[in-house]
Amino acid sequence: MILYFVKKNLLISDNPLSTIMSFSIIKIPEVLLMTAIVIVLLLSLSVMVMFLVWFERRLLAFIQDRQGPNRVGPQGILQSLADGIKLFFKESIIPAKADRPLFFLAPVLVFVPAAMSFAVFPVNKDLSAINLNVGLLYLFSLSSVGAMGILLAGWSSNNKYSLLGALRLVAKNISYEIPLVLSTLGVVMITGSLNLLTIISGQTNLWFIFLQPIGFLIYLISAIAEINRSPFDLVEAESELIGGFHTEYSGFMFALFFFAEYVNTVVISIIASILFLGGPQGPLLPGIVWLIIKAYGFIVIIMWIRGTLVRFRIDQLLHFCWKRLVPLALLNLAFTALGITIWQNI
Amino acid sequence: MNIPEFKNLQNISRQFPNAQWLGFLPAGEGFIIPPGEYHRLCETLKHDYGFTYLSCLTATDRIAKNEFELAVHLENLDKNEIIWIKVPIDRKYAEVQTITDLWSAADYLERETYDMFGIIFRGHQNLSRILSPENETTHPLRKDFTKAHNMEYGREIMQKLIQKKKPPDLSLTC
Amino acid sequence: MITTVEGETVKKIEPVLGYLHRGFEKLGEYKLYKSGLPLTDRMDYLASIFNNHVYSLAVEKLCKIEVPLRAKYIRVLVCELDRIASHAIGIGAFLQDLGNPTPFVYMFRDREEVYELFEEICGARQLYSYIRPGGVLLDLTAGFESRTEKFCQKMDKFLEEYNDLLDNNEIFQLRTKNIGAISGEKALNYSLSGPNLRASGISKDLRKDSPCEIYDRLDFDTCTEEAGDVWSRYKVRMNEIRQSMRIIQQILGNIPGGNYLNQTPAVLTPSPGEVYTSVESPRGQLGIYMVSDGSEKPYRYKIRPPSFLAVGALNEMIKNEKIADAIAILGSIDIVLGEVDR
Repeated sequence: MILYFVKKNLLISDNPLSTIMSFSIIKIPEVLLMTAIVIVLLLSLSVMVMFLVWFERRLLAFIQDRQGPNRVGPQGILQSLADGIKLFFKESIIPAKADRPLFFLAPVLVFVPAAMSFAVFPVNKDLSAINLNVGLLYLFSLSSVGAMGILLAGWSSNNKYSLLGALRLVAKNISYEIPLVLSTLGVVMITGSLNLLTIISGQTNLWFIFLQPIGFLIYLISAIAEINRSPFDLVEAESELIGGFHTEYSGFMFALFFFAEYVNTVVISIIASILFLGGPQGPLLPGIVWLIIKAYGFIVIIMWIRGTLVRFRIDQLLHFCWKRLVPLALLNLAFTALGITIWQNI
Repeated sequence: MNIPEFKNLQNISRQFPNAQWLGFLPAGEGFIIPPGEYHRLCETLKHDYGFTYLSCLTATDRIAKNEFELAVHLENLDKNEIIWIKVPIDRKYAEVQTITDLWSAADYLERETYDMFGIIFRGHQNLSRILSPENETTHPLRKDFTKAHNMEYGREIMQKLIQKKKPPDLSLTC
Repeated sequence: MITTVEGETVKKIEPVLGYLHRGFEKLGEYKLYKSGLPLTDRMDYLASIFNNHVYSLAVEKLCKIEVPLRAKYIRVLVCELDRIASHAIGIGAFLQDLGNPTPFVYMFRDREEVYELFEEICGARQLYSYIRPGGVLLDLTAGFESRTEKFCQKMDKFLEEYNDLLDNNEIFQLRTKNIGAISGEKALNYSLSGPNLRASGISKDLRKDSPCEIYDRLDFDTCTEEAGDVWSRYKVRMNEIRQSMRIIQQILGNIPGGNYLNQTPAVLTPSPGEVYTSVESPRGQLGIYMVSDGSEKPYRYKIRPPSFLAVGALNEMIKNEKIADAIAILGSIDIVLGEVDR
């Protein structure tokens, strides 16, 4: 979170284009500063992911009536650090017939968009690292790039199980993007803007979850489907496809996929709390703390669902999306439009 | 499980004059029948006498009499009866007709018997090894397959591979 | 399993067996009748008391050994306990394959209770060698019956939990209903038995049809379902756990006193002959065909494994289903590879 304050100092204007143009004359201190920022970002993401991994394992263990990791460090909190160090030093075994450039590119394409989403998240009611007018569109387009990364991983591994996982993923992601976007369009219609800060300031009196309950539920389901979490984790279904798209990956590249999954979980939780629960707003505590509390509420719900439900099958998944979620989302839009017209005419 | 009705057994023994009817054993009642009429007897038992359930199909190596003894246990689930059929098969040219056309369960059971004894079932769609590796050449449950035999056999394989200067394929040594 | 796929649909499946083949049938020919008993444990290692039971029954029939009444009651008691444990792990593993790791861990919690009960009476948690020709190895300890009673009450509550978690879950029903259906006739043709057969509508239970020990004095239902699909098999197993608990409740408190083992010589030499007996194991009809030639070692014995024949029927069940369903069906027939390969 230090990141945000550093970036605030670096912010020149609201317009991203002018920011980039101001860097066209390469100034060495600026480049060094940007590198330092990137390193800080990666470190803070790593710490966050490590905490989340430990948290998930303890939470699932609690649901399943057993302990979780509780040996390494106080209450087992250093367990993920130990796992991360192990993965970092493991040999990256690359299959002989794998498509090398794509093989190396794929984890990057999955991890970077997830990390890039943090640029637009607001820290406070009127402060975010980059204030994009099309913030919401930016976030959804990043998730599409992530899907492409997984497809590349499955293809370049030259392994039929990976390919099967990647194909399932393409079908699933393309399908679920529709209800994902449609469900948030209701919020956009109410506020009239894609800018995240505007959406937050629109919720000072009433959170959108009360105005858009169906939209909220559809968003939650589609978002869990997009990030390949249970019960939609057929892409990496261990019992069926060994590892799906990450079967052939080991060592650091596998760690990147692992990171990306958790970072994605945090990203959609934060988006959910910004869009529907009012984001960083609340009575006593500073905004950022409220954002974290709300995001963790969603993270707990996502992990809870993982421990409870059985996996879907791919055609049942697509059936569920196209025949249930999309019509529901469209109906939601229609009612929202109706509601707005009535409200405006009162 | 009960023994089959006496009059049914009498009828069967009349229909198959070559069958030897044995009874009052711990194993119950049953027939010893030559291989030629084995399939016909199974068919009759299945269609006419209601023995529609195949319980077990296996063989025993009677090396003293120089034959294999194929043992088939059939059950009549409605009347709760069990009957056995034993077929003596020549040890050197071990061949008998398959009963997979009557019971699909015989598929796997006959494959296992072939694997372990070397009895060839004529008419079986896919008579291949099931429990031993594919390239196995011996039949383990025969009485002349002893431990010493196995070790000698393993030693032979190793010698051949060493002569060919190939690293031993571990799937062959079992 | 070598699967021939067209898109996501399975066209043909060929199980490749034999990776766990340890040659028990050949090994058994080199062991004395009583010494060969611990070998049988290792075949169906998740419900090992039934292997011991069927072997002991065969030896008793060949050698004409009587079993005291107390031993018969104890045998039924431990068999039903093991049936509960085996169904627990069967259902738990099946659900884990479907994607939900939680019931697997819950089932192990229940299985742990059974392990502790067994550890009291025979010292072993899993491979018991408890049922011997002539009776059982050791007598029940003091307080065993009250602990078993407490276990039954706990298991009742756990079963309610499972029903809540799973039965009304729409995703679970979508994954299991109308998947891998096999009709009653085909099931008979493939010689399926036990819960797999009862789920297809054919109500045959060896405990009722040819009762060994004291099953004819006990009152329990045969659990049958009509559809023959994955859901039915799951339901049959859940119901059978309840019926086993019912049997245990009837036995507890009614075990007669007396001898628990009829002592027999260490080296048994039956007269030449052969026998085929079977018991109802949690996987189906577990049979044994034992041939003796008058010497102190069996001339031949063959175990008729229910899981082996269930694997044979897999191709029939999985044809034209999706890959994900193939996993669900494989989990639902509840095979143990130790038994399939021996």
